[in-house]
Amino acid sequence: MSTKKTTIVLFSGDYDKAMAAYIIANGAAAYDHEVTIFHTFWGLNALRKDEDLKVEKSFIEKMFGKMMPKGADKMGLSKMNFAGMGPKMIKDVIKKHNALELPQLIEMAQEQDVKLVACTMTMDLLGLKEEELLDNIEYAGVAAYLADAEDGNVNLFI
Amino acid sequence: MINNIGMTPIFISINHIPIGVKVKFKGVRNMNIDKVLNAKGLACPMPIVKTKKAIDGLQSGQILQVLTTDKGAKSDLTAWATSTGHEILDTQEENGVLTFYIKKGEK
Repeated sequence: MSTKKTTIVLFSGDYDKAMAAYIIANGAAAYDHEVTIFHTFWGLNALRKDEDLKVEKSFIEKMFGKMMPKGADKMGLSKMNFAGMGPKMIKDVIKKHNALELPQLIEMAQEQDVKLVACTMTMDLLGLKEEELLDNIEYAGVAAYLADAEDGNVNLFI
Repeated sequence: MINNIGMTPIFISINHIPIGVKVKFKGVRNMNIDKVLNAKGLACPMPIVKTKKAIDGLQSGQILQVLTTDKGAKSDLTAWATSTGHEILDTQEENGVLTFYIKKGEK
């Protein structure tokens, strides 16, 4: 049995959409697929560490850093966000149903050897530095993504 | 007078196989379960992820029993087993608990 491949482009920075992406990724890993999640634009926020790091940035980059969610747990919902109340409610519901929250899904994906990739071009645009993102991830661009996607059996853009 | 409960003759047969002969049922009666996975209460995608991890620890031909309460698990585990080359020997449903018997396939 040759290994099958799943690739997901995570463009969205919404908690719910990222959750869907990571659930599919974890499922695909259980299917013995080689799985890649390519994080670009707002999806990069899912990889941010939840801590204040001293990194050198321009004024605009600092602004971006302040305005964007610091890590998966801080992301908002695509619908019914209600200025932050929505995510609080959904996390309660997630706990009630014994489902996994997004940070745990990311952790499990890493445990299952899902390849997490950060798009370097959009990192530059948003002013995100490697130190601010999770450890053990890869940095690449469109060509590396396409190399995985061209023989991917499942390719998704979320 | 024949009482169906108390007076069943011993030579009665089930599916034309005489009692007393050791029969290989397709069901679970003669199955040696090598590992039990309790995934009750867990939601998607955990049952599949845990099943995968559990079956990774088995040899080909060994049998894994999976208990789950996730309603999607019936379709999920069936599809997963087919696609990854394992065999579902039997499934049972009782009081909202789904039980699967999965035989690990050849790799």
